[in-house]
Amino acid sequence: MKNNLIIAVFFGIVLSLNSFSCNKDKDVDCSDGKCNPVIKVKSKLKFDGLPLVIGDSYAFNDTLEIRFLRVNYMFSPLILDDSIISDVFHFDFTSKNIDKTKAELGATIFENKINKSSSVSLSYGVGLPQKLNNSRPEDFLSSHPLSNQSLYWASWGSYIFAQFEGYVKNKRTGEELSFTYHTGGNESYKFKKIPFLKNFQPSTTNTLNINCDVRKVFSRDGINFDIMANLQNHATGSTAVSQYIMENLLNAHEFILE
Amino acid sequence: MGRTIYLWLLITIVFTYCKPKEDVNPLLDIPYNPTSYQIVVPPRFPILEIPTDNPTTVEGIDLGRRLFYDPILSKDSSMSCSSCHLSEFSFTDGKAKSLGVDGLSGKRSSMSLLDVAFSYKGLFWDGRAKNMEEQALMPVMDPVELHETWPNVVEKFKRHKDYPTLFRKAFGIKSIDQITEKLATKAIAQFERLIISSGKSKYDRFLRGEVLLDDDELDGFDMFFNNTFSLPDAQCGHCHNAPLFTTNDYFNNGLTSAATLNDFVDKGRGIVTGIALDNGKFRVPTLRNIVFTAPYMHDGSILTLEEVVEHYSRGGHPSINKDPLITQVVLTSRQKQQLIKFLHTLTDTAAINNPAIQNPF
Repeated sequence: MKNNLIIAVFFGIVLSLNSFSCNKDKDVDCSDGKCNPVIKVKSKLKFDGLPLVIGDSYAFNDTLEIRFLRVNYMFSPLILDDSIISDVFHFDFTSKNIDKTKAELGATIFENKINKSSSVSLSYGVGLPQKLNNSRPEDFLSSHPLSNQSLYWASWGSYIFAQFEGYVKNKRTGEELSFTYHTGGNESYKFKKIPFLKNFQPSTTNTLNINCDVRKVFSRDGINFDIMANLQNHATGSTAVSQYIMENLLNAHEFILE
Repeated sequence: MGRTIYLWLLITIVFTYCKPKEDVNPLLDIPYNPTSYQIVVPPRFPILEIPTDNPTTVEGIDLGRRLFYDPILSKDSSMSCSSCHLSEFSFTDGKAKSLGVDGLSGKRSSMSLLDVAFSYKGLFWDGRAKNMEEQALMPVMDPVELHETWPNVVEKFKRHKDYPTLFRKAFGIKSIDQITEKLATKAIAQFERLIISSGKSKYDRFLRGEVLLDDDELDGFDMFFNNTFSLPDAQCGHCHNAPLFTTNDYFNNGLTSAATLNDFVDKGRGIVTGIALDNGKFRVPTLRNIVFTAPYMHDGSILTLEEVVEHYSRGGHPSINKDPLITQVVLTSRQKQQLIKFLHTLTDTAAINNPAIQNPF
């Protein structure tokens, strides 16, 4: 009788522990995407692999130093497999990369839950696809990146897809000249899809760093762009310089998931 | 019996005349039925964003208009907002630097208020006010402007014969103690949103196909916006983009030279952001009605449009962060005149002569 009582108490304890344990599992409610991974997108600008600081000088070649005062471009869209993460980002580093710390840190431009746990591909474009480029700033509220009047060029009927501006200095002569490269027009839009085999941790923040190395925008196959011969480009994709910059810009990106 | 009647009469009289005074509130007798007001925005202009906590009403505009023109906002009742923003100068004051109530000179020129409602990237030359409501607070307190305090101004409103009623009609205040600087600046902002382009300038009518530009104006237009390879790019449109003829961004336009970023006499935007590269940058003003807003630049240092064009064609003065777009532009004398002729097509007298924005006193 006494033994039976002990056994009953023992089973009681075991059952109650088991019951606690089961309740714990039930606390995690993953319905309605509550456990979906969070993706944080950070944009970083580099030059030769180092954080690019607006206003700082970088060696462009043996004789030229380059410093950027304005760097911004449209990035549209960002897609993982078939899921659109964002229609459009406007990456503007001009007032963000103001010192080395901030440039290293990058700018968080997006943070949201995504409805997927893994991906096999990533698609992205630089500039704006035709459908978006057919819109105008007055179609958007001021909080939207495409509302910015300074990024629309009416005579092109297009947004300005990319702006790279700054100064280039000849170290031997001390001469410093400004450069400005503006591109736009539907024919400038570039898009590609790359393999992106990744798993996203549920219920946690997964940081996707989108790194752009400006050196690669002004260099191809080991040959630097002839800046001194082409100090300005304010034109749609009809010009060779526009095509060169946008093709290079597309390929200047790397995507790193932390 | 007779005594009782007299006693009741006495009690009635005492209660009637001894009714506490605070229960009598004439403001509550004034109806509060604000009428929503729809501001007409010209075609292709940005979306006009009205703060949700400050909807535009007929009564709010009426109050704001009076406050804008009333010297009650200044220390000695000698100046109002309109003293530095006169309609005939497209809401500037025609001076290089504005003088305040004490005769002190500000360090910058008065900015045009035309289309100020679309200044979503900050107000003043340096962008230190985030929105119009916040902007309207500052000149009252500025020692080189109206040099008053808001508590004093609010007291003056409370004592005024009209303002309690107008605040009641605009914002539904229930007592004069509810009159605040916040409500006053909301009203001023509502009024200032009416200072808006009419869409009747020659340029606007040209875009709609209603008129033609002459050959000089057309060449000026093409150079301004770099529309053709056959004419030089005058580089104007980058900062003065249509339709507002300002991007409302902050630029160093090479007005002054500076050996280092700390050498600018007026650091402008840099004071607000704390970013050294922003030193010497100022908000781009609209070129609409530019013929009325001389002298030009943030310090009023350039007197004529001819000199402005000369400044930019020379490429401005050197400094580390001079905008790369400010570079030497080779223009003939004729081309410079064509640019100026195009600028004249931006004249919009209908906007500044709008009866709804004139002095009500």
